[in-house]
Amino acid sequence: MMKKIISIVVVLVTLAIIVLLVLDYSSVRPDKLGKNPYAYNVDEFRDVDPFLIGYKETRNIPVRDYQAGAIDLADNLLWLTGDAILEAITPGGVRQLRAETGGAGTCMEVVSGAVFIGFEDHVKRYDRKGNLVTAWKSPGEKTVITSLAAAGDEFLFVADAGNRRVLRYNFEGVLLNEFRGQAESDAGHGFIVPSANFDLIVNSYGELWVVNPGRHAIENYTFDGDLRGFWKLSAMTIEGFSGCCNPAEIAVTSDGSFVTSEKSMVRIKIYDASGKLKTVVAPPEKFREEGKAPEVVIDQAGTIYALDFDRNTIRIFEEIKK
Amino acid sequence: MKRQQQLLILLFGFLLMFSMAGAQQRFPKPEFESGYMQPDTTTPEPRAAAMEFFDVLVLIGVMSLATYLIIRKRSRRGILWLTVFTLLYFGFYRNGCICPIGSIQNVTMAIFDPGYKISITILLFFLLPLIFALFYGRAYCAAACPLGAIQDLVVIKPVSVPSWVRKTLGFIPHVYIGLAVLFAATGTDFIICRYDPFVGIFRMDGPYLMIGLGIALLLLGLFFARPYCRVFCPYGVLLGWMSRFSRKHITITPSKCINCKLCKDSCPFDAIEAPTDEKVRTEQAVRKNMRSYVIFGLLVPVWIVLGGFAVSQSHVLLSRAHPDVYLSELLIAHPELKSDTENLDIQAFLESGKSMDQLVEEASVIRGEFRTGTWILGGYLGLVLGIMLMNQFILRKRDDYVPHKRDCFSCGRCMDYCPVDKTF
Repeated sequence: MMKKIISIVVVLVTLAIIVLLVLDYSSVRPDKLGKNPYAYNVDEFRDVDPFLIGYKETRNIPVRDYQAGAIDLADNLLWLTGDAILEAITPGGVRQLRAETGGAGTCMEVVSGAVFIGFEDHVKRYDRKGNLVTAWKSPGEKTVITSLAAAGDEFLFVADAGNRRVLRYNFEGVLLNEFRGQAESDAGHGFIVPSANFDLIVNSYGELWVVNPGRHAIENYTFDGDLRGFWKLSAMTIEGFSGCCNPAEIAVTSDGSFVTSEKSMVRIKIYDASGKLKTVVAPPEKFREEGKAPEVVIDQAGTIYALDFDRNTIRIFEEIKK
Repeated sequence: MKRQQQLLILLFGFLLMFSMAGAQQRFPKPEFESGYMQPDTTTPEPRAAAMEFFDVLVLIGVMSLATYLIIRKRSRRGILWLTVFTLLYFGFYRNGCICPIGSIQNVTMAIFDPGYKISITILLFFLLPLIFALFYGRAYCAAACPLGAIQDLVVIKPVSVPSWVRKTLGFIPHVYIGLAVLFAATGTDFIICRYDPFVGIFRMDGPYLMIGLGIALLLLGLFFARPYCRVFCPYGVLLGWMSRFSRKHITITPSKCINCKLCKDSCPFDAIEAPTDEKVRTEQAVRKNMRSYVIFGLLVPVWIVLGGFAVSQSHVLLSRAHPDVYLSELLIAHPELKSDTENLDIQAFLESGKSMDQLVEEASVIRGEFRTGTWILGGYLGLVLGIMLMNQFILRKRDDYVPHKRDCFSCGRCMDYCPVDKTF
């Protein structure tokens, strides 16, 4: 009996193996492979839990005539620069100023009495009426200026993505010092900047915070370039940052929280000063896939203005009242 | 109690294999909070030539020792420990590669493709087990084959199966080696390596199907000993031919056989032939069988032609296994697929700079090769079938229990069971 059962099992298993192998072999054909299993697919991370979203888009201001390259907020005016234009508009979209700059500005910082615009490899200082005051000389070869941040009325920090360094100038354009984020301890790695996304900001407490995009970190430095602290969050999920260089843009609220903006899987979020996610301002579905990171500024009331480069529009997000 | 322990160890081993299969194909890669970065993928350096020759030396050493243990020492225990060594060295350490079974394809391709060269070590791996088999039987199967070793160690309760089942299943290796040679000769694929059921276990990595297949064969092997060797192994066909003519094959008894039948019961592979029943082997029966033998012998050419014709009818179907043939047919039938950017094969072809005309021309040449190849394959299978049918009518005279030279793996179990002492 056992002999019979084993014989039947052997024959059946052999047949099953042959059928399986033939089916497997015939499935490995160019038109039967199905989806590429190695395809880069982050769709599952695009969905965000609605309970995490604390803001809604209330209106937007399209930028006409030129491609905007940077935005800042000062004295209740939105300042824009881009293709040879410096413009100031009210939050309602009414133009207050329009001036020629003669180049494509990539970043700007507006302080009392001065407007600094970063072009590819140099900075120009304008007065508040858009008149050129001085054009600073380029700090060196391979310079790619991506961000400006003023500390009071004294210093201007310049992010140079091309050389992975931060430069400190006085307002007259004199270079005071530079640093590359390399700490003596193991805590710091130096700035890792794979693309032209390298932002910095000085918050209301006068602290300098620099994004280290390759590490998905936001790092606090003294003005002399000593690392004081940092937080970092690498994750594809909504809690962290992903990709080669994120967060690409940051802003700070009056309480020291960070508004972060990410490229590629575009999303805007707010973290507290220690790096804990507070809320989501805009999930990826609000933006174009594989889009550029919107530059973000925030006013005293907590309204967030995001310059969406892909749509050339200022998109305004306000907190959902609960 | 001992049997229960063995079963428990086996069960534990199988569970380990299942857990290993579950650990395959993780995607996407995990992220680490600690900041650990996934290392870049690196291509390992090929094994140093000196080490490849070392592998050849190990192979020669194992087969020599196995031959010594079988022919001179008559030690089943020695063979068993040698099997364990082979499993560890050629199996888990060398990851089941290089192996003579797969080398059939390398040798074939080297013969048919002038641009394809094989190293001397591959050639030695292919030839040495055959040379040993020609002189001493299947010493390679006894203790030097990692695929045989892993199956041999799980033979717990082997059951004898009817002769017709064994003979029918015994036809499969001929089909397998025929297809493997055809595919290698036409540059289509190395199907023996692709469907090696145990390499995934040795490497602790592989597709679910192959790991599952390996485990299934091991489970089957608990009762039907060494199923891969007996039902699939293509190299076994060549070894069987060589071993049939071996000069000094394993003998069950060191002196005179007492016909106790213990050896036949001990052989898990049904590879021991009983003495001839003289009541059956009458002069009249011998004459009748001889007549049938001659008739079937005369029919062999018919089988060859029939086989060749039948199998050649499948040359169109089989040629589609070749990627170029399949791709050319696909693009002729569905030219719109050229714009499918997701299809990596089609995109690779388009970026190669080759024109559609060139692809079709190459495909027609390959199809012609398949036409010829399938005629030869069919003829070979017809020949095998014809000989198998002829063999039904051979009534050899045997006085003792003797191992079947072609099917015997020289494992030595029969020697262990034989009660006849040398001094008897």
